[in-house]
Amino acid sequence: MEPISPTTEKILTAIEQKQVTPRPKWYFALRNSILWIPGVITTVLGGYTIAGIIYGILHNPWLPLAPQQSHPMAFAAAVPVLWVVSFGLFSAITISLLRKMHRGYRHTALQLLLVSVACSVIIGILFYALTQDSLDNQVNTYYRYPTQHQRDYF
Amino acid sequence: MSSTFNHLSDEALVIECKKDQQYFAELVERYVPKLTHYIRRRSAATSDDIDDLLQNIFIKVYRNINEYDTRLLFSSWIYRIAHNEMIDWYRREKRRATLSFDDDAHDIMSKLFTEEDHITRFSNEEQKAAMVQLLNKLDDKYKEILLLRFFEEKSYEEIADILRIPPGTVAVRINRAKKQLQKKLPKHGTN
Repeated sequence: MEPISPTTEKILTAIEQKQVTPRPKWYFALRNSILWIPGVITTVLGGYTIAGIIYGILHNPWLPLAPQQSHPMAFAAAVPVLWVVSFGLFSAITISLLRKMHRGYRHTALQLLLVSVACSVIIGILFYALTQDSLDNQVNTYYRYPTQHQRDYF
Repeated sequence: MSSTFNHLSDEALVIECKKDQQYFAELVERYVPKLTHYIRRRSAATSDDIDDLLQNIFIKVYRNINEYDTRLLFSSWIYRIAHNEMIDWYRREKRRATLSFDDDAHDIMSKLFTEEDHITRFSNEEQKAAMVQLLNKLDDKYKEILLLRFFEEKSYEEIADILRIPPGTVAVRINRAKKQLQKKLPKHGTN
């Protein structure tokens, strides 16, 4: 065996003296799953907010009363702001989690946003299709009454 | 020791070192000179500081060896650890990243600029000092990226893995850093 340099020797001695041992594989698997779990939860919650947005737009009781339905403001007034804000919040959390995941940093914020939105939209459509009745109970309470902004417009 | 393991790649050594520490010794032997250069160029650290930094880096490497993903280059992973260790060190010592170079002025210039950039080449020690001063006036994020690209000779992909940023951002930062430097440097015929 060939001799090793004094620096290498010093480093190996320090490792031995400090009794450093490699952390087990499961430690890293657990740490990664800690990132995955909230990522999945926020994506699902994002999907739920998308279902709320779809519901808010399709079941808006005063949209047909709009004076000029083709006007973009009529659509804007019908957008359920609270759901959109919640969706933005969950998407932002998902993006920051994706960044920390394996190779997530290699993608731009826009790419991650698109992935997060696409996942949430797919989940949201499924949610909407599967739980329309339950959404009826939860969302209708809020949408039965127009907001001040909507009242002013319509 | 090196010749015994010459045929093995870094990634193969990582797999083997989980069973036999001899292989880890070889990894240390391979990376001590590279990381010593990197630390010296990134900081005004003393030899004792460098020894401490190297020790901390390799302890972290050994402790986290099971985290290493063989789909990445080992060199990117170890440079990532070194990069983080340097940041911690700056914080502990309350210092700012300061580049220092043993290479002569001409080397620094030829690494950063091509003939097409029309930058006047520096040759004497005074001009070299001025060049290093200019480099040190850049933001830390630009200094780091120039160091990795032109002095550690890392690819964009490797730099992306070391700094954990998208490869596109690496390209943008290198361009911006070079433009900032170009503005401050004398062009042909103006010096």
